[in-house]
Amino acid sequence: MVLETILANWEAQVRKGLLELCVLNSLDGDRLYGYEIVKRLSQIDGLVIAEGTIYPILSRFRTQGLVEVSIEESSGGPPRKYYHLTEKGVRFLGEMNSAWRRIESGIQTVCKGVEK
Amino acid sequence: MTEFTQEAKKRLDSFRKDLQNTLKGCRSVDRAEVERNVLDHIDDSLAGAAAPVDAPQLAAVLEGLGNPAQWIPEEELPWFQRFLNDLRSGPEDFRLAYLSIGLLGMSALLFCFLPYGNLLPLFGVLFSFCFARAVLSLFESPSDLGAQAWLVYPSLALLYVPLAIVGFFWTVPFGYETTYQIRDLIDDPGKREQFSELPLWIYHSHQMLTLTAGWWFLVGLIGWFFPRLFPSVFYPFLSGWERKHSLALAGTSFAIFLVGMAVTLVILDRYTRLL
Repeated sequence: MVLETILANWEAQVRKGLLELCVLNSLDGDRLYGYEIVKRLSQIDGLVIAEGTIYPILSRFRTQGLVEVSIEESSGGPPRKYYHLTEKGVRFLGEMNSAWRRIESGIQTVCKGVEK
Repeated sequence: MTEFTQEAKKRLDSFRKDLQNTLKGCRSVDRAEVERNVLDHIDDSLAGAAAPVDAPQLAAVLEGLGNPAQWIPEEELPWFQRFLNDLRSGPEDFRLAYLSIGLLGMSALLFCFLPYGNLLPLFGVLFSFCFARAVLSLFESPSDLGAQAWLVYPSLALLYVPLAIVGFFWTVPFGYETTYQIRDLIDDPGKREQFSELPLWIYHSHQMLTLTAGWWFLVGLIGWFFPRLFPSVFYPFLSGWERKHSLALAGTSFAIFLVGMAVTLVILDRYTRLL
């Protein structure tokens, strides 16, 4: 298989896995609506995100009780849905970030070992 | 909120309607929320534009936004839409594999419904084979194919099997025929009767085996001198074929051929005046 294709597939899988972590972190201490979250995440270098991908994630977080939604009317279109973390969401995010730091540290150890 | 010209507003309303229709029935996505996202995206993209924004400017933003179907979660797409999306944007090897099996299936259908003798199904099979070989060229090893092998191997087998049968067994009908030729060489009625004491199928089998063994000896020699020939032609099924296999084929076939020819000569000597 062409190496570029393998790399592209691998990157897509890694981004998929990290997107939930990024979405929750973007809501940490903030109250954002869908497009704001998309904008914030699209500024992250290497995190190529299609606008449609975050809505199922937000819907799932809502079902899981990690985020709450508040509606605000806006001019010229449907109302805006603002998302913010619940207490459960804040705790869960803390655990996700700890898990991520462990994974990141482990990967850096492996990579340093390989570089030697 | 961005101000639009009449034409631009019509264009936007059309896009919003498309979006609503596309997302109808979507369980995990709120249509209103997605529409809100689109409007925010448009406002953000046209933030510095002079008002009112005209249709071409809006069209450029909508084109950048892409197809409304992108908001449908992949798991909620109809199976044929997922298939088409994979064909359009999936990894190249994946697309080619589905093209290969799709073309093969279509050729089979055409064969059933088109008049006998129509060459379209044959062309379909040939193109399907080409796509299958193209898929194989994208992988370093056939074992990397994984489940895609199921999509690719049918096209390959459909061509390889007849090719192998013709290539390896074309001598069988000739061997069958030589039995009658030998029988025709027998002048003496008594000897002819003796010849017929054994069932004809024994003579047929012997002649077919001898001629085929003789041909396989030549095939083995060809494989010995051109070791990459069989692995290339029948890739990936004979990718493990080596010189030693050609040698074994040539050696075994030659032995069978020698024995077979000896028996044939005995038959000719006993029953005919040829020798």
